[in-house]
Amino acid sequence: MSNKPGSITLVQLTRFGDILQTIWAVKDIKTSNPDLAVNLVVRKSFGKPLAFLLDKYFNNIYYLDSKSFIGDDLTSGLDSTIKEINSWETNVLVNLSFSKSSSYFSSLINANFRLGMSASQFASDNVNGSWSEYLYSTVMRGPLNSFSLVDIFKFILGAKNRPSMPEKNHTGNTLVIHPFTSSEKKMWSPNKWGEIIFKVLKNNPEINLSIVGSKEDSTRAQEIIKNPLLSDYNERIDINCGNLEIEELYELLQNSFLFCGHDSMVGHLASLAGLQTLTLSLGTVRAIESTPYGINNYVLAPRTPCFPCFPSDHCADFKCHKDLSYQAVTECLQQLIDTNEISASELQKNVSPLHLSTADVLQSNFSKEGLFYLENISSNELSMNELYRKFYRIVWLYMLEETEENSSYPKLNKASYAGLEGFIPNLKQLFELAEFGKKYSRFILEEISKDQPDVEYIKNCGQKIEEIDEMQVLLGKASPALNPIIDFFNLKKSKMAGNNLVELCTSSHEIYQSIGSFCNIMYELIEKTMNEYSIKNKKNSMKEAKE
Amino acid sequence: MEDFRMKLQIETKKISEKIKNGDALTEEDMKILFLTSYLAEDTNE
Repeated sequence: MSNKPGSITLVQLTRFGDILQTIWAVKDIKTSNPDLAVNLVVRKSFGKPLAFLLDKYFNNIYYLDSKSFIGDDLTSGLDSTIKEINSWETNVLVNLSFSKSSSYFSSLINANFRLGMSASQFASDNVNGSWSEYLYSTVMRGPLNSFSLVDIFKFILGAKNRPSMPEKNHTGNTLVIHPFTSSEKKMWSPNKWGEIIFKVLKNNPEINLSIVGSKEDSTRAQEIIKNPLLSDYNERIDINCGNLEIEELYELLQNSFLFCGHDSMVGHLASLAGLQTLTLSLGTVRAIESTPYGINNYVLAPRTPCFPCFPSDHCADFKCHKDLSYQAVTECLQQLIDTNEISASELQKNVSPLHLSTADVLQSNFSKEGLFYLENISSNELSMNELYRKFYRIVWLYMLEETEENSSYPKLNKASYAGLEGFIPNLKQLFELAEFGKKYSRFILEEISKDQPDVEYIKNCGQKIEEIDEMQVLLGKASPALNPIIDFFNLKKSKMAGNNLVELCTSSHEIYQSIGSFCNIMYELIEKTMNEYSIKNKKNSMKEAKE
Repeated sequence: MEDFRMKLQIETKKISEKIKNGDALTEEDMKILFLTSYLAEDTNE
């Protein structure tokens, strides 16, 4: 008899982009499990416009509508919703959205198993499943997540197959541009976009351009085309802001040859439609998380060192907007128009280092194991965050999936070597704290097993464990690169399983053991990478001395 | 709509007290909490 669940119900109460990324994950799980029934609960406002796509991949869909909840009785509207969803067979309920409402909602639906966040009977959030814990503790809190959101969704759902990609469409003569996002931080000024559009239309007389967006983007779209540079080109620019249903936009994308825009749902829609994408990734955007899923999609991301950047952080001058140069963007666009790819050597030939050195050009691909990654094609020099993400990716895959991804040692330079030298003592300190945690958990277990346990001694050991946990948090503040480990295992500790002190201490011992193992693997990786760098350096200096 | 929100607010206050006191919540309480947070998020979207 198969152990595989017969039906899954997904709760996805976030916005268009997350729903589209969920579709990618479900596409793949359906490929490897064609008989699996997958149901979906979404907000009506975001789900209905995507119904033409959702209908292809989901067996049952429930569109939550606020209006249907409102009545004389407070909960009768909701009761009928729950009744209908509970009429579906749900072996596993997976909450892929991390919001309060989705947490409460998940706790109201009948299911044999639950993954993701659901509210406990004391209204606290339970997060079930290692990858859901990862999503909650790492993606939601900082810049060191190493995986695409689609791959994390797939891990949560247990899909292991390589993704099936639609054939890329390079026909037609329409370039679709979406120069808008929901936040000022994440988009270029209309003026800059006007210059880019001018250059593209001037150099490519065969190309037409479609600016797409919502009704709210119309004013900004008008600002773009009012640019005096574009006065001779207006006939070749079609503005589609607020006049297209999403299904019509999808058809437009299917009949176009290239998409260029900021991070938004349109990029995800374009990739689903089989279109190549170039994303200008600004402000709070973390490219690895939200780049449109697919092969040979490109991202231009400033190297501005003010990461992490959170939506709530005030920013006065948008330095990252200036670090992405007009020259780099136009060259990348032109190469994609001419050859469907961006060549590093052509970039270096045609764009001055002054304009190229402040941004990275990233190309998307899939590893042999079927995992999405971004390769930096403009520079070999990884930033510290990129380096940490590379190390973390290896360790998380090993710890949570027992998988090894075949990848070479990251290349270091003087600055990153020094950065890692500074990081190692903190990593060692975290390891030592974990060892102490193990020791005190063991002391408690040993004391309990005695005929007459010393309660005072057990209390003291418990206090020591509390101190260790506090010191880990302090260490995370001093060395934020350790936070993915600290946050993940703190979440595990907060929901430690056990009905008595012995079981709790055994769980605690296991968690400290895992922290220690994590630090160990991370340390070995960093040490080997640093050794590689030192050996290469020595060889180079010996060669130079000989010459 | 306003009347509905007002009723929800009153019920949510009662539930907050229960949470403060460490009392276990009922299914009806969860429904109220869901409606409150869902409608708030819907307005913000």
